Amino acid sequence: MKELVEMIAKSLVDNPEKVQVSQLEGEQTTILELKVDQEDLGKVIGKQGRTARAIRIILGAAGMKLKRRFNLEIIEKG
Amino acid sequence: MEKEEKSNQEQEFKGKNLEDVISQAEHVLKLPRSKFTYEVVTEKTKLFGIRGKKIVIRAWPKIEPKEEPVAQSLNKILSFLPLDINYKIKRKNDVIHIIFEGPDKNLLLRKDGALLMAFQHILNKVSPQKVQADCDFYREKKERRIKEYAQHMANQVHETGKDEILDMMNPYERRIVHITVNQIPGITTESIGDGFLKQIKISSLKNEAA
Repeated sequence: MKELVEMIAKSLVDNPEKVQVSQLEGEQTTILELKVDQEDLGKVIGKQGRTARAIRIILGAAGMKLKRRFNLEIIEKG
Repeated sequence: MEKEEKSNQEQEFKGKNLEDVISQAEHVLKLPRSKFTYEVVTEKTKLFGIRGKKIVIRAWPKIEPKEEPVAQSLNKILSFLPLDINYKIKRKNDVIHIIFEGPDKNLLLRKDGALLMAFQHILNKVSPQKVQADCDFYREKKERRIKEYAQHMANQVHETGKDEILDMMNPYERRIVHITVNQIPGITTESIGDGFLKQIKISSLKNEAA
């Protein structure tokens, strides 16, 4: 799923080389942390979080199939 | 089995029969026959003899229509997804239509087409052209359902004269409601709220006059 998030994020941003995804495996949940360039933050979140929600829905569908929960966290660098 | 090089793209093939030359072309162009176009240059029907070339064709790769960027992104997304879905892509009046199919299509339509709309949203961000996603006539069914709902509520307002506020709807859904309701005379619509999802108020014009 890491590759999926990475691929979608890269296709949305202006600076694809700055896209980083790390995967943290829990017992039932996988947390995917997405980091993008500060300028691209809006692009992966979208108006009223629509894009972030769309990515989460896609992850949710994958999770249903794999019987696993995927959590997407978009990391804002301080 | 010699071939002449006409240009980089176009090549000639000679052989005993059409089937024979097409498979030659497939081999040389490294493309399946659906991916190139050919025209027959000469065809001689010889009654006797096995000698000599009977058919010459010219073949060149097909130029694919320009929906590539969307298809590329979608193919990548689907390759990383453990879902069994495929799609057809069509272009109509500058809109790229993507029609999903496959054993897992029910997942696309769950929760009022949430996944279908998620794909549509992402693909619209990637594509310079408008992308519409559909599956199992989802759009048509939804449109009909909203129209019926709007008509029902409008009739109610017409009879009772009391305002009705409809459920939260997205711009596409609201558009259908406005169009449907405003066809009925004596009734008006208004969007209330803020943001992507808004409610529509249907009210009777008689009240305002009174």
